[in-house]
Amino acid sequence: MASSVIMPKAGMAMEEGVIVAWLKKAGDAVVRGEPIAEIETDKAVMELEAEADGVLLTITRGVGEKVPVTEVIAWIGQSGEIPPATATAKATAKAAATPAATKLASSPIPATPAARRIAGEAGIELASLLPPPGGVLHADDVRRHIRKDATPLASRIAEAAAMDPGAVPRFEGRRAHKADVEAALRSRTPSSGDPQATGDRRIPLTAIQRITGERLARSHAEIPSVTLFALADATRFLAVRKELNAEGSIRISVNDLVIRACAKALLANPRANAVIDGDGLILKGGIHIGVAVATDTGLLVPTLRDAARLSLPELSLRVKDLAGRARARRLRPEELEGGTFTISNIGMYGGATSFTPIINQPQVGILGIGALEERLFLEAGVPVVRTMLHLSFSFDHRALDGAESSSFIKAVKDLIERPLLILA
Amino acid sequence: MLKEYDLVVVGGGPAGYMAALRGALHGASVALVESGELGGTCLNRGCIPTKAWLQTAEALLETRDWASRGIVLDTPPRLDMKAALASKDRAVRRLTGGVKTLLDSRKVDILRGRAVLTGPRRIDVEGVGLVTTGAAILAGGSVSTRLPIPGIDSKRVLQSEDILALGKVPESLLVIGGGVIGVEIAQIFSAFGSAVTIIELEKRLLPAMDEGLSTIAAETLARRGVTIRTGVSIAGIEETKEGLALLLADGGRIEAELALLSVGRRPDLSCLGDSGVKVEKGRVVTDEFMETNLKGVFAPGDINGRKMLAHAAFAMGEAAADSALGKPRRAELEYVPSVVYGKPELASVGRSEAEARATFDRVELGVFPFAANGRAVASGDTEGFVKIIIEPRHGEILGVHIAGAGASELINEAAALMRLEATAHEWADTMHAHPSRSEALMEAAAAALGRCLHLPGK
Repeated sequence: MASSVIMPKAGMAMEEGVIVAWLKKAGDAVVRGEPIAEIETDKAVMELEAEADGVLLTITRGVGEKVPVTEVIAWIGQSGEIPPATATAKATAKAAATPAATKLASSPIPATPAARRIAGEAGIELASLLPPPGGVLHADDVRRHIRKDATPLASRIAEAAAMDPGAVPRFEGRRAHKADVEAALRSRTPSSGDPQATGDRRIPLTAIQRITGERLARSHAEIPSVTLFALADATRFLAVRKELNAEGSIRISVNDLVIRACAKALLANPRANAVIDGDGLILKGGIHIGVAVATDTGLLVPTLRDAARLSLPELSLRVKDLAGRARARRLRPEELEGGTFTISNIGMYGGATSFTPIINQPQVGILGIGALEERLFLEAGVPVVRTMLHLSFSFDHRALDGAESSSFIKAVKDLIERPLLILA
Repeated sequence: MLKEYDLVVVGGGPAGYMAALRGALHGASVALVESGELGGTCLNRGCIPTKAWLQTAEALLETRDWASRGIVLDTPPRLDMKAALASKDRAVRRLTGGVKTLLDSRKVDILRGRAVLTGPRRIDVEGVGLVTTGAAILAGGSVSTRLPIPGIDSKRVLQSEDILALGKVPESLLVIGGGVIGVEIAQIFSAFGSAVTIIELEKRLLPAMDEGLSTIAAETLARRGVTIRTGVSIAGIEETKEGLALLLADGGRIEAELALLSVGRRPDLSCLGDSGVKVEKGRVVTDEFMETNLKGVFAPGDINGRKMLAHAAFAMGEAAADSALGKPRRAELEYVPSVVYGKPELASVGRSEAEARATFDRVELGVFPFAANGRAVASGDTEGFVKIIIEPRHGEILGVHIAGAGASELINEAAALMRLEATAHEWADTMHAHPSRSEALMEAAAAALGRCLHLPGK
């Protein structure tokens, strides 16, 4: 009997996934455990493995489609077997004809979250759409409706300009008219060199930006956070780094060294390596440091597991790998989970000297790495130049008090100022 | 006793009565103030009575062609002007009575008297007193434009309302102004037997319409014996023993028994009083929701001079009532058809060819003559054409101009498709009943796209 291939639920927050590629085509033999498709979630791209031996009978959802989790996207069975898709369609059509379906019409429109979001962005009332035979509106149903929901002239103008008429913001939910398409085209291509001439533009947030945004807002609202600032003399630290890079084949970054220093400081300050759990604080056994990475589609924080156990070259390689795959959106979902502390570095951008990072819930602390700055000091009456590193540490005041938090940032500062201890 | 309403509408013309009906539909208490007959210029002195007489005129013209269709009149037809007048008045009475019935059916109070706005929520109605209202809709309408020339006040210079009450046909008639009203009335009296001369200041008749329509109008009128003088300005008017003489600026002189002054209409601002409603160039200034500079005071219809047409007034009246009652609604005036009745009928919606060429880099024309339309040939009425102007990249319909029988009906298909933003592609592919005059629209759309098969290949 044929078995279904479903959109997997690869993380707690995952509601839907996009099919990036089918690695097998209908009719291909597949072996259990063999990758058959690439699936993109909000945070990563992963491979979907076959869960049965046999033949990929049929692919029911195509590349680019956004599919809610647990929904069927393909069937695997024995060669020549008929996938049960037709039987299912009949069953749902029959279900739709029963009185229960009529009851649905008066209750809130059954629709997938993606369908609701797309409809919301386009300003379309879900109630204005007829539910398909299955009874539940999917993202594609809404998209199809939106594409159709443009005047012939608007469609032609949009298509000639290679614009999806469905992507055009419209006036009060009516179908897209010429004026709507022209407005969208104006905002897409500034007609003159003056960007102010184009008026307001709406740019939809990416999935990552929305999710990150929600988390940041919640953290900002819920946590009584305090930020401490420290200035560490990084002159010797930089000299040591220079020596390391002159010898080794792996290029160690300032970031790598600070991560290692941080891991060591967390070992000595276990309350900072913790998560809030209701009215308790769980001191975490392992030190798993989230490293914030800016990507084209938003901020991602992959987790560097067991940071305190890694050698410096290992740590450096792992961080580079995580950051590279984060930018390529090739992280596995579990690589974005399980962090016990977070580091955010804005030093490489220049500009700001220091900042107040927002705590990554349910963690209790985040270290901010700011700019390196040369300053003049008097040493025994002689002016000397020292390169200082700006550090900041935001902490959850429910979990840490002033003494504990000061102890942690002082530990980081001491390690930077005595860099051989970082290497030890 | 002070009367109080949710909505008081001044003026019982198309904008006013529509606003009142719409307000009542929303459940508001509504009063409509009118000093004359209900129905406004359109029903009493404009669209409707001219259409009644044009029907009489066209019937008379048609009899000339009957012999060729095998109907022989032994004595030539004769116009009974008294009966024609009575027939026209019956039509007017029936429609103005209909307006009253509609207003009564929705419990709109009709206040008789002249009204003046005395404050944002106060209207003084002559013979009734002060009325207070939640919102005021001033649909004061328009009056005929006068010309500032000597002799213009002569009794032999008639306004359109005077000429529509004439009990006898004048020997000769001078029509001053070759716009819509002038061309329609010229056709009526020409068919009735007057020697008609049209004087137009601009270079062509119907200067506001597409030039193709001006040309065919001038040709057919000339064929029926109407004299057309364009590019002529008038210096003055003198009464003579038999009638009057028009003194032209170039020294010329034209004599006739009567003259019609039809040089346009201007807003009637008498209901504004000194309330402070903003007026520019003689027109009340409103936004798209028909609201004036005074909050809660609205001015739909001819009074704002946007489009002096009854159907535009309907739309403006409805928008004003909705907006006045807290349901803001724009008056959509993008696709307003305009029609000159007569034979042939002329109808337009959208841009003229000249306007389209001035706005767009490329335009294509699709012209389909009724002489190539089966229905037109079978019924022996092949005069005229359909002309569709498109922007060729997307097939956008920029303007549609029709000359020929039924143009006033055909133009509404064009207006509907333009409003729904159909393109020439969909139009050309929309099946039309055969044979019908409407097919000419489909064919012209195809012609604009270079794929009309009912026209010879080039």
